Amino acid sequence: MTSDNERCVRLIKEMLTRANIFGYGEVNQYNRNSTLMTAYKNINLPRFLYYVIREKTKCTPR
Amino acid sequence: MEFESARRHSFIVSREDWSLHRKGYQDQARHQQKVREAIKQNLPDLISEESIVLSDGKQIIKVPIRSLDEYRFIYNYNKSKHVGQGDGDSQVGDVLGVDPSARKGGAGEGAGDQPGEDVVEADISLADLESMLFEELELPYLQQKDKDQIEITDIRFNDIRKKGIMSNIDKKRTILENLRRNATAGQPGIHGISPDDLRYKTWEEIVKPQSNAVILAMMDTSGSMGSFEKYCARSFFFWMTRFLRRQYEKVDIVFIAHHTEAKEVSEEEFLRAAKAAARSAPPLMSKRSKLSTAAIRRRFTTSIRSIFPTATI
Repeated sequence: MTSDNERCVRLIKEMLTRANIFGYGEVNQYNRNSTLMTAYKNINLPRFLYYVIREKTKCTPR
Repeated sequence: MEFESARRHSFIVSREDWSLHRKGYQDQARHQQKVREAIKQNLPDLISEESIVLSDGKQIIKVPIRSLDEYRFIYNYNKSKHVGQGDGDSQVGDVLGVDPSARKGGAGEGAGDQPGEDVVEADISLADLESMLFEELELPYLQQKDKDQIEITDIRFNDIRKKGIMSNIDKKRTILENLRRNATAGQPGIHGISPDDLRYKTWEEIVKPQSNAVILAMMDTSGSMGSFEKYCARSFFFWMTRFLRRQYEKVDIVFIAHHTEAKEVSEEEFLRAAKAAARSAPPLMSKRSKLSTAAIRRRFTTSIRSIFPTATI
């Protein structure tokens, strides 16, 4: 739900005060971003990492 | 004195050519190298293969590798010309003849006239695949926290001594020592290796502080997760847990599944949830974030661990 996104961002910021990193992976085979992803893109913290998984071979590094 | 000289010559240097004795080992090493190359090439397909991700992780994986021919004489191969002839004043670098069969056979339409490549399937275990995959990976931003953690011990050969176990003998240094001693005695060469020359490799135990980490794995299990999404998420978490358990002895993984509500589940439930279809309900991301903050507070408030929440939608 879109109304939820803002709360997410706040909680992630709170979590990052304790956590080493917060990684967010979005499985999205389409070429458009979800609203949550758009919200997350505005988090400019070095310890917040995100990645969009477009195909199943991208589920692991390399 | 006689006893002394007998002792002095109790070691000899074998000068036999051992290369043929090592043929089996060389072939084995070559095969393993081929397998490694094949894995590297096929890695993206291998890791996303359904049979692996859905398995219990104990199975054998097959990778196709090109079979290797042994060197042998071939007579009149393809009944084509195999020699070239110069015109009388050939220079270095002139091409006199080309192997006509060097053209590649391959996939395509129509019948070909070239033999195909022989492909054999090599078996590798999942553990081998893992060790290749995870070789250089580690958790980022690991911080040194409290030091009361488990320490793992390892051994490292880093010292040379005069006494030791015969199987740990350092041949190179022993010979060097012998050469040196003979040279100072005025008779250079390798002869008369005495017990004094022997050098042994010895080891040292190393202790390193092991870092504890907590990973919070969060996954959307709501109806918006189609089969592709579920498969990807499952595959990601499958490899993630395997990576963590392999590389780190002390990691706790907390699994949180969520749709409109979030709850902590066991690993089996978590991965099963990725398989089973869930009812359609919009996921509330904040619920899971809230739960994981609560989990962090409740259980891991101490500074012992490094905390890594990982989420997929």
